[in-house]
Amino acid sequence: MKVTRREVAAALLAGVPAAGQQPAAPAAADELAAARETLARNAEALTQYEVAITTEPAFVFRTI
Amino acid sequence: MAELSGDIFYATIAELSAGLRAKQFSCVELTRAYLDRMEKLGPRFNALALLLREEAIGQAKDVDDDLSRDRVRGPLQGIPCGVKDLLALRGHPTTWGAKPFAGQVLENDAAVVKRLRKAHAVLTSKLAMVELAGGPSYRYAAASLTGPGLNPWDRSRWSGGSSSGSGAAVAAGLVAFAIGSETSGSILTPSAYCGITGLRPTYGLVSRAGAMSLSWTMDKIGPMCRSAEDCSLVLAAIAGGDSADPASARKSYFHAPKFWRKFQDLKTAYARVDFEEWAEPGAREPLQKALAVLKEMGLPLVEAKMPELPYGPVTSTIIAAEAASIFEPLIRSGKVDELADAKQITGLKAGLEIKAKDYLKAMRIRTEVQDGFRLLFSQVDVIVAPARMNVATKVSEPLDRPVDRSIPKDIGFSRIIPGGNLAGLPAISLPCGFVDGMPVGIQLVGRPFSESNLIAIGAEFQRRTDFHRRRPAL
Repeated sequence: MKVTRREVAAALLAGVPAAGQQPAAPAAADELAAARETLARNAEALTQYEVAITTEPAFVFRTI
Repeated sequence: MAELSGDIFYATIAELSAGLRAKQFSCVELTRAYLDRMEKLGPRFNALALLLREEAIGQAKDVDDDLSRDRVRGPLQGIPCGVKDLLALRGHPTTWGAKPFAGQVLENDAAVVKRLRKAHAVLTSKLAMVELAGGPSYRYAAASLTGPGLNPWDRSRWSGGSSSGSGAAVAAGLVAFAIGSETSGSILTPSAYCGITGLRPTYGLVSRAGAMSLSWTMDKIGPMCRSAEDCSLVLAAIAGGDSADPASARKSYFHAPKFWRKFQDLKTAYARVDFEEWAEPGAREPLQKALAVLKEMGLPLVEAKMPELPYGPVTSTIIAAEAASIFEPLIRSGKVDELADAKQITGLKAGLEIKAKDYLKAMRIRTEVQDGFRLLFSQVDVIVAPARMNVATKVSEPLDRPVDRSIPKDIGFSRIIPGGNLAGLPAISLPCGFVDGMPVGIQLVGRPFSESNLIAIGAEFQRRTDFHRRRPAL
């Protein structure tokens, strides 16, 4: 395949983030794994916290 | 047409109202001036979602007609304002700040929009926001259809989220007041970062009918203004029962300064550790000075702290589970991938996997959060704490980066934003100083439906300080 110098330059420049641009984000699969890990950590923290057996979920969503 | 001075863009609602009634300027002149300013400067801060020029001029003409016949309709008559783009406006795009909803046009006005119309306020614009009001979480300020909300005090910094356009628009004098919404911090954060006064009402006080839902059990809508007194005037117009909102408390709010309680009767809790250790070093001095002003006002200050509970996991689990349920069609259709922020996309997807036992456990712990605040408010009337521990972050910085200083052991009231939201408590953020040119805010939190106490304290605080009157150099 023939690649021109202009195409090489364009490809290289495309990989350079402009000033103020976001840094490269992790791959989508890693992001999803990280999101699941966060949920698992939250679930673990909730499990560790003991509530009385009589404690019902908050069905009124403000302190009264 | 009279040339309106720059001062008009930083006038309070009462000042604008007095000018209109005294015929110093017409409502059309005022509205045109605000529309032109919004058109010119709104995009500079990524604050504008939609300009409503034709409609606003029409409303302004009606106001002028009324005023020419001495028909006075109340304090918001003829006042130019904007609403967060999560509120439906019939016949116009309502994007929720998110690309998958960029073409959405809803059939009915949101209840708050109807109430603003009834108060004869002039709606000039819909204001930018973080996509889906932040969803379960997001990593970058750029998580928005309109780009990152830029702070009028320094455009390299964020205006805060998720009511980013509302915060920037008020701070830059593009609207006289704005409407924002909060699930956990979305009014208080942009208010503190932009140096304006924002009020998060008690859960259920303001109808959410016609507003995008993020979390049914935590969403609230409130005013973002130039002063505590302006917040009071706007709240009085938008609060009230509504059968279209299942969470409506069917209560109203009245702006009645003569019935405000004496400060000596308002026992106020604070935690020393918030002001000496939790706040970033530069913010400590203005925050401590603000505390001293509250003391001078006669508020009896007592040391206390919030109950130690897993606020972060509880809040995250509830919002993630409810948001995933609300946006399940978006997620399943694959259109969720059109959102701007990868963390938001994966957070929504993962949210569908939250187990019922975890959501219910979070809601059971929420009962303990409520019990804890109930006990605290049996001993005190108000809590005072930093609105945010830091000034506005750089736009390029990830919002979930680790804190680069040691974490105090004492919780103080450092988790008052998630805690106050879980308990549905009202709060107000007041500008109280600057660090390297960036605003710092202090927050007051009260019992449900005690907005008048928070506003009374805020109004007196602003009589004694001028931080709410400062303007960014644009």
